[in-house]
Amino acid sequence: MNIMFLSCKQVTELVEKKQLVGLSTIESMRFRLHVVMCAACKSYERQSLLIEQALKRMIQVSRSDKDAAQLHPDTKLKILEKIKTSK
Amino acid sequence: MPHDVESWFHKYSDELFRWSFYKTSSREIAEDLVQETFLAAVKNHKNFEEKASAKTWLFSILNHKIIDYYRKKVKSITVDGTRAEQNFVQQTDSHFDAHQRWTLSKGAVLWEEESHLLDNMEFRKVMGSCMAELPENWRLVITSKYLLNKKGQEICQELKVTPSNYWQMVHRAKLMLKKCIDRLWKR
Repeated sequence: MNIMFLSCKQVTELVEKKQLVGLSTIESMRFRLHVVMCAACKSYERQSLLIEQALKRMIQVSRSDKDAAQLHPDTKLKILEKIKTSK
Repeated sequence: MPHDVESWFHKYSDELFRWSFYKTSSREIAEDLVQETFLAAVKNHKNFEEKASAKTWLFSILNHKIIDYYRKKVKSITVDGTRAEQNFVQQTDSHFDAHQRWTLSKGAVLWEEESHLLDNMEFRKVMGSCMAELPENWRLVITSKYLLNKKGQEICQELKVTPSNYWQMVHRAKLMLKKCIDRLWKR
């Protein structure tokens, strides 16, 4: 491993670290140095952020999909039976 | 069984179910958690204060069960990744060559540069298929912060994992998603 130059794989890891807790000064310097020269990683960082937004959207949609969900009547009976016999 | 637990069941079970279904994305698990919630309510009935709201009390029990479920799932990734997950780890490693540089095919579509991608129904479909390809536990990790509504380090505390463990899991999952979108998203 080079002191100044990170590999693409390391950079993609730092993309996640950056979003979660931020990078140290040294990490941030190495990160920028790499991204300036590497189009694939630059584009990957944007993709990662876009995936986050898409996930967020997906969760919202999945919530509204479940607005009308109900326990199946049979399941209800089963659970009721279990609570009745429990102590 | 205390009589009121039965009436609470009739009153609140569907609402509790919807909540746990939303949080776990699985009918079966959601049903189990609702059942466990009511069993716990029977067992700890004497701790319930008459003045309190039964609904709030039941939801707080359920929320504990949901967090426990997440923690168990996430722990199982770090401790004993299943064979399926190991396959995926090898697969994400194969995104890079021996020098850890990208092994991207020439002319890869730069989908991140398209505007309004998030509103695009086709793209949403692609996202959905790609999420379905992920191992279940990884899916849980990357959606957990939105489902549990926690940001940054809070989600690590909630899931009881170290930040470095967490971002490494997210890292793997994201690489899989990226490759999958590269493959499925064609103009």
